[in-house]
Amino acid sequence: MHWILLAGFIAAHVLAYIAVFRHLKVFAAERAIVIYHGLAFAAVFAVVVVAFARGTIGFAASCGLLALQYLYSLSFLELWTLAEGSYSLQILLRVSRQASISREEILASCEAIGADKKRNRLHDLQSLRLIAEDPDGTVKISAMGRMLVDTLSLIMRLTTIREAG
Amino acid sequence: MWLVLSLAGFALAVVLHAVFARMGGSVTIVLSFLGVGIPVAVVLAALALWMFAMSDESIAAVLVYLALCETYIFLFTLAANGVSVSLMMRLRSRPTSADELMKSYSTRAMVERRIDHLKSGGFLIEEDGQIALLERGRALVRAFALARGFFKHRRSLDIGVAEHGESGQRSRP
Repeated sequence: MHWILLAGFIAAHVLAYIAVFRHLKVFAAERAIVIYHGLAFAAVFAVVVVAFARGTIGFAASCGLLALQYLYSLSFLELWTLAEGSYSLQILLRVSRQASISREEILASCEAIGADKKRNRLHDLQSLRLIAEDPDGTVKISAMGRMLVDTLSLIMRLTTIREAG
Repeated sequence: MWLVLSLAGFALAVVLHAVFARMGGSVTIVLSFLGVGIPVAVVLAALALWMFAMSDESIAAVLVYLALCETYIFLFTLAANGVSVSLMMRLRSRPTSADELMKSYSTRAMVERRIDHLKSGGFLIEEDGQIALLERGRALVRAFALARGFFKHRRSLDIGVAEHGESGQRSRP
């Protein structure tokens, strides 16, 4: 029964997005999408915790329900972000506009975008407190940033990714 | 016990993927993980059904495994493609000024890497210095056009247009 309820909630969440929210200008921003899914996850989490505390559902069902909601939200956010404009997609689109294009033309087109992207990323990292800038202008990685980078470095070693970014 | 099954399945998928990644080949990193992750998921589901029948435990075992796998895919694609991650790794080596950090990260190298990934993934072909889309690349472009239409993304993606128009997209790092 609880699986059906969650499936119904997810379906309603998707339908609400399709019918209403995706047409709103505010939902063009990544922040709005993240909040939309964050609130949904928080709501499911609260209901699951209450149901577990009351003994309505067991530990396995609680974990499974949260995992399902997490899978839905993460998949949605991943797809949204990729479609919004990954670098690789932009390269593919550039190439698709003509029969063939030289590597140099693509590189020249991308140079300016790359510079803007780096500046935006630094700003985003600061707002997430993953890096900090000292009064003398030195930028340092924070403890939280270091933990994230250490985890990703381990994953890179496991998956033989040689270079990040 | 279901949780042990789930975690053991995920650990097995990670180890198998690490082994296959070292064997080389032209398969992309995501596809190579799916190549081990899906069979492990099937075996895990069969084991869970055998041990717990159709129950909350068997469903939870599979869902938690899938959630762990998706998180792993998210993290290694973030590491492989993330501009932010690359910047943070440079800062981990040594703190520096924002200007020096920007200079140390080569946009050209980043784009070259992406072109090479797209070539090895079978989306592009390069001959005599000219790059063209393969059928797989065209299919991906069509799929993304559909996705962009579904999500009502408005910003132009044409990097030729973006030089004169919008810039600094806040997409995934």
